[in-house]
Amino acid sequence: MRIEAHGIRAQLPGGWEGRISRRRPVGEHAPRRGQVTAVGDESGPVLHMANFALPEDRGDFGSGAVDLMRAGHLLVALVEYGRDSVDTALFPRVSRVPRVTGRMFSTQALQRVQRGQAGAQRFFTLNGRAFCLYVVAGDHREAAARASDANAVTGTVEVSPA
Amino acid sequence: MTAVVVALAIVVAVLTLLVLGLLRSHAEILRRLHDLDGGADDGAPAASSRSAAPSGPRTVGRDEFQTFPQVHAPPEREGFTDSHDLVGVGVDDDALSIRVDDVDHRTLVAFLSGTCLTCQRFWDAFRKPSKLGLPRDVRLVVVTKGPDQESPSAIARVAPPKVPVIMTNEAWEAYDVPGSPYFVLVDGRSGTVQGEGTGIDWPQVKGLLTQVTDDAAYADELETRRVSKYRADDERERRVDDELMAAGIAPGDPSLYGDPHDDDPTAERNP
Repeated sequence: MRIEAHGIRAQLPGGWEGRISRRRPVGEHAPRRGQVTAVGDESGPVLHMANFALPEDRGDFGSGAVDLMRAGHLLVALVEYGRDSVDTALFPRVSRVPRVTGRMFSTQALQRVQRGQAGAQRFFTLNGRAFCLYVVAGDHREAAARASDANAVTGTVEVSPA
Repeated sequence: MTAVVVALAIVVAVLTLLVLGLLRSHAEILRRLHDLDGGADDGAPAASSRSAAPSGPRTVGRDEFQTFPQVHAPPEREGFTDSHDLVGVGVDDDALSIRVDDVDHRTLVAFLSGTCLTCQRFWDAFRKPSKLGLPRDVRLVVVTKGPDQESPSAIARVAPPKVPVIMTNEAWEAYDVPGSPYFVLVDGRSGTVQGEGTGIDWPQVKGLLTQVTDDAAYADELETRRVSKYRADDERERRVDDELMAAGIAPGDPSLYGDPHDDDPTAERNP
């Protein structure tokens, strides 16, 4: 199953689903629903991929979704940052979405700490666009297996040049 | 005295007319019931042309299937379609892919439109998913036509915030949807469509959903109640089958049924 929007493409394996949406600015700059946002806005796109049913009400880094995660579940978020982050020290240039390993997962590396879960983060610049890859495993004891699953999915992600 | 006799005669005449009228009416009712039941019996030709239809249960043709004016007739096909994952765009300038196959829940796919009046009842009902009374293992997903046929801003105005809304033409074709509103229930574990249909409001559709769920539970219950063979019998049967197959004797082989003359003591045997 292929998903594509905002210059990001991904091929999802069986049992996975995904969304590519734009980060929603809040306040008076928030776009109305149904309105197409212009490419180049600071509200960069976010790719969510999960091997469970993604809820509609969720944050860029999975808040709302992580509450539903159980053992065996995996959430992958690819969040694009602004142009001022491109090629900075935190966002080194890479040629593909970086891989994660089981040892990168930590129960303290979560945007929102959930009992038993573990997360891993990588920051990078790919094709002139700055991203954060954020992966959450439903059970920290399965980190190694989930890292392998995450790499298989992120390996299909393609990013168009800025 | 004469007046009394005349009056009685008139009363009798009137009553006779009433009785004749009732008999005639009764005969007409019987004739029409007979026609509805499939025609003549005992070889006697029926009066109306419809009685020429064959006797026995009558299949209702699709043209005779009546639905409410605001509800679409069922599709003209046997059985359900295959299940398909949903891929399309959302109302927030986003792309969505929703898995309905190979998941451990069921998905109720609601095919709605932003313009049909009946759909509005469902859009309104879906704004509060917790009040829909859906079974815990059922996920609701709304599918509209793609942005080339539906206005994203119109859909955005009615889209419920907590239910995924996906705009795609492909899903309408894949599920052979006759029109909106229409509902398809997919079992993600088996990857099959469990049921489909429509209604004029959510309680009616929920009734269909409950029926499908009850039927599936009943089938499961029957399966669990099935009396199993004793293990020894089962193993013996398997062993005999294996030995026969190894000897080249397949099911239906004539040698399994013996010579019919063996049991006939009067039959002559060849030397």
